[in-house]
Amino acid sequence: MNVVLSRRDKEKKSRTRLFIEAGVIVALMILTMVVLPLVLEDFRLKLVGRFLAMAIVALGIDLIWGYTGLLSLGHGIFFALGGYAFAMYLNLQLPEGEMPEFFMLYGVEKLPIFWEPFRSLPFTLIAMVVIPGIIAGILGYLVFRNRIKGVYFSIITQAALLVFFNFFNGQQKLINGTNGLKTDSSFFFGQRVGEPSTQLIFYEITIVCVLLVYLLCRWLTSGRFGRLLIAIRDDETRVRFTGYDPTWFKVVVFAISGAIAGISGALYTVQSGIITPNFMEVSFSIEMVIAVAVGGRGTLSGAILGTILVNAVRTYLSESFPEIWLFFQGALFLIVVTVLPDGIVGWVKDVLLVQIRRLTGRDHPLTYPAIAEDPVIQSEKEQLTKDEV
Amino acid sequence: MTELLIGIFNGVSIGSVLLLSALGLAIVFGLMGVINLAHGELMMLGAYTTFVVQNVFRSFGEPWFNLYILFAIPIAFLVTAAVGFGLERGVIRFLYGRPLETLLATWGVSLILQQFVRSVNWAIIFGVILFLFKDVLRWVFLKLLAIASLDKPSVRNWGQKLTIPVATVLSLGLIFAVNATKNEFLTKAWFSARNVDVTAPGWLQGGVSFGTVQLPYSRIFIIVLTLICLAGMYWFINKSNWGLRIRSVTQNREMSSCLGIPTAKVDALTFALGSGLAGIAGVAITLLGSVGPNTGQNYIVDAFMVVVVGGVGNLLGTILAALGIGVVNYLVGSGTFVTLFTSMQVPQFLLDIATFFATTSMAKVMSFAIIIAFLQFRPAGLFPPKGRTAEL
Amino acid sequence: MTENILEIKDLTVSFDGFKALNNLTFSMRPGELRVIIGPNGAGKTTFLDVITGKVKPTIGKVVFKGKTISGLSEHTVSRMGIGRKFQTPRVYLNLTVRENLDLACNQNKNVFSTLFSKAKSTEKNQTVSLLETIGLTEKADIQASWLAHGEKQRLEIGMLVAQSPDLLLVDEPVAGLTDEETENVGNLLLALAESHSLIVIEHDMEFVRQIARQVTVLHQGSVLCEGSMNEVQNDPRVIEVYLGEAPTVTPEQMNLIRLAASMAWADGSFAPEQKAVILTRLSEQFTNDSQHQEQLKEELANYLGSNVPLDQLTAGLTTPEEKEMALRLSYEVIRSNGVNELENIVYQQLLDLLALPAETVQAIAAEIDAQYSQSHQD
Repeated sequence: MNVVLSRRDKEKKSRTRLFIEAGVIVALMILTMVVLPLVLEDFRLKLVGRFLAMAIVALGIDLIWGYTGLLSLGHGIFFALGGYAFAMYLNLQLPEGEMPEFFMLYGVEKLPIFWEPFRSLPFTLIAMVVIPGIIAGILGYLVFRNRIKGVYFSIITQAALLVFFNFFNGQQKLINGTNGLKTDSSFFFGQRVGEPSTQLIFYEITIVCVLLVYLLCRWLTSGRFGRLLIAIRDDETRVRFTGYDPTWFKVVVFAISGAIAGISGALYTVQSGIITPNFMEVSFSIEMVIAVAVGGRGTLSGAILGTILVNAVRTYLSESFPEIWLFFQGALFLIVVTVLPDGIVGWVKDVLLVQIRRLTGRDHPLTYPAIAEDPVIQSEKEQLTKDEV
Repeated sequence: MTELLIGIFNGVSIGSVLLLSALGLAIVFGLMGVINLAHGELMMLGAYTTFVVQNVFRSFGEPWFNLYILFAIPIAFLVTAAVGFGLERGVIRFLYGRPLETLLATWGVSLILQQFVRSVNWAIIFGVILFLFKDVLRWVFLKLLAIASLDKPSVRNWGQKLTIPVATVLSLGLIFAVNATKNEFLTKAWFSARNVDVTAPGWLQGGVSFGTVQLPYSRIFIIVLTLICLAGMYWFINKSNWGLRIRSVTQNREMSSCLGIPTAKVDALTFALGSGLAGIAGVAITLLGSVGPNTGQNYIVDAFMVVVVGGVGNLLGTILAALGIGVVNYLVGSGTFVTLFTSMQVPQFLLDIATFFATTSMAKVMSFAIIIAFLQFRPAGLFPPKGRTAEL
Repeated sequence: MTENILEIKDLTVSFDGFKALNNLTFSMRPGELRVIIGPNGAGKTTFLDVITGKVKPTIGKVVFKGKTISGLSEHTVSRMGIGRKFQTPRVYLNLTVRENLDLACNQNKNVFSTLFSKAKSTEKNQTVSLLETIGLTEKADIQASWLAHGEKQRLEIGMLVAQSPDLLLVDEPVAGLTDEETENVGNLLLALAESHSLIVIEHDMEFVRQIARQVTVLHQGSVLCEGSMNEVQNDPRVIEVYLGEAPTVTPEQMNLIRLAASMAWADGSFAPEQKAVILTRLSEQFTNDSQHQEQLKEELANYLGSNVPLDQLTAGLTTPEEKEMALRLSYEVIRSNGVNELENIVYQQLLDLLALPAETVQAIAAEIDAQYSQSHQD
């Protein structure tokens, strides 16, 4: 009957929720880490691994778009930078004194200087997170400090994406241009990267990364910081007049989001066997965004769910009916935006669960406390229950 | 020196294509705050319309074929304006006040349009026609129900709700059914998946010569076309009744609505107008090279940069931004600076920089860097909206 | 502390040549509650914008607690202790009431301390007590988007207080509120004024009168005049700005007009007889020229609209002659359409306030009574 829950009730409820969440996570981990490798053939497993890698970047996009309200159409940059960083490391796993083969094609004699540090694994691991993060931070700072926001931000990120695409495409002598870098035939700790057993390791690492990034995002969005992000989305001017500098919050979130994309790109690259500038195509970045929208932005589970779902459908359709895929994808954009603005998770929360509660008779209408507590209404309520008895 | 002048001429001609494509975007963005990512695809539709018109006129023979491009311009305008109108009525008007969602929705539309030109055949046309006549179908259906005296409010309500899903399913069914007939005429795709070429009419081939250099007629034609469109737009916006309405809605939507200006009509009209301009830009790009389903993508981001640099709702800003970006892109990308610097004997590092950026794609990198630097000084573009209400 | 909390000298803000603020000079003592009024376009909102750093001054500077703050960004100004409330309530709609307050309470607003530190217990207690102050304890855990307009206004004021600013800037706090809510907000502001310095911008004169001690009138970007509500209301320049023409009467005469008007309003209605009495008597008193009297009547009629509390008006009467004149006029006004209960009460109040000798009062009353009984017999 009590509409206003007591503090203890509330704590109890939130603890129960936490337990459920932990349970679901453990179950999903077991399913993906143990069951799927046993059930699926290598080829399918690799696909799942790629979807999961995409789910990581989706979490990053959700952070900047779902929570902070900034739609980035340029996450492909950070994704590809992470991918390139790792691919460069793998390409350098050669006997002493040798250079990756493609350099010969362009008559490059000496390894470009920026390749050198990528011989070291620790450096690479740090670089594939930090470089995208820093680039995102710089781009974000230049844009946010001038209070450029909304669609302006979106199209500037898109232009930046195109610029990076052009840059990587044009630099054959530095980074093999359009052809990109292949990773499958390289060696990782003496193992060929393309081997199923190595791929399985990367698959398991991906799952661990999904979990870690999920927990990171969970932590970022649950406290004061997360509420401030929502506050920036709701009313940036108020945030400013409350004494916060939204610029730095946005820069930090964008940088984190970019760093997450870097991890995702590295894992994706190693599981697809190649990185090319095509990872920085305009359409690829928008697809990442729409996957988050399908799942439900502003919810972390939605970002993961949406990405896996969209990519699965995509794989199926573009394998079986390549012609229909674009029509379908276009329709998906329209439908999500017009009919399902809160995505699948939002729909389940707002519509499905409410319907189920109503059907099972466990309906707790959410009323305005003032109304519920109004003495007139309470006496009316009592009157009604008396009449029924 | 002539090098530089030629470079500027070519830059201006590229800038005028940019301007043509950005003009429509800028008007729509200024009025409704809508970024239309399908604008490039509307240009592409315009280009394909030109292709069709060219083929039709070719069958007429000379002298008609020579004039096809003059007919293609209004036809492309009308076709793309009609598509734009449908887009506004069918999708965008439901999304006002949600600019980011509009962005995504129009991207969806652009994907559909791309695939549409790839696979369009009579079957798809039938399906689209069926879908467009969905309201007629519903009307007939309800009439039939009325005859069977089943016409209840609840039925009507469901009819309303189910129209779009049912029409979609019916249209798709029709398309599949017609395709399944394997009839050569009905199922053959109109355009090949590869790019199509439009031949410029004879009088646009060649060019005027100034000493050793030649200015192609086709580029001069594009510049003139842009000027005409600009003049037309200027007249329409500043002198006509509808232009007055558009300006008033741009400045204050609520107030205009209170004064009895039909804002919904103004929106639809403006969107159609902007789309029509994209169509004309489409005609222009057929003169620059072959066109394919993805052609629009090449122009769209540059066109957006023009809008960003020019500032919202300012014709002059758009013009300057388009020409500026066009000239910088060309001068840097074509290597004009490299030859210039070599002859001027500038320090080696400047020459190295110029050489590094002297490709079309690297020129884009350069101009983006310049744009970002520019935005540090003028975040709201060349001509920002004035007054204290600007940011709230 | 004799230092002014806010000191503005010769400040000019121009937008493309249009001067929104023009050579404005303004100062304020700590703990003061200052109301700023002025017609539309007087530069009231720009004035707040320039203090809070939203707009940069073209010439001049703003000094707050001895430090120059013009040119700083909004969040720096805010951290120095200036809070601003907007005209329409601006709260975070997707956060709960408690979360809204918690964000404002946060003592250290850097990115990293926001990320890594947890809410201190003092901050939590502050949130709880603020919830009580603004009367939203019951609704602490529902989303702000569910709140009514007035509740959002109070929440926003609560958020301002949570920042523990020294100076609060409030822009039209009662626009669009019901009378009851207006009074709530008024009381809230008065309570705040006990521990903060406040600048309130308002259009609603009733409300201004409820809260104002010191009023500044802005006009065309500069300060037109400053003073108590009463002084300001009787200032010919202010009347000119609001009515469009300069009054020909002196401030003392204006005071008399308002007193008469307030007496006439005492029973809640303004009878035509009362109006006639006021206009005739006063115009006769102010001038001897009969033609000028007619003009004056028209002008005076403009000033009869407001109903000002008596104590403010009587404060302006100094000499016994003025007081007698006021009493004579007031009695005649209520006598003119028959004295009723309410008018009587107000009249008694007036007598108390004037504190004239009883004989004088009776003499005047008798004189006017005689006048009226005579006219009735005719």
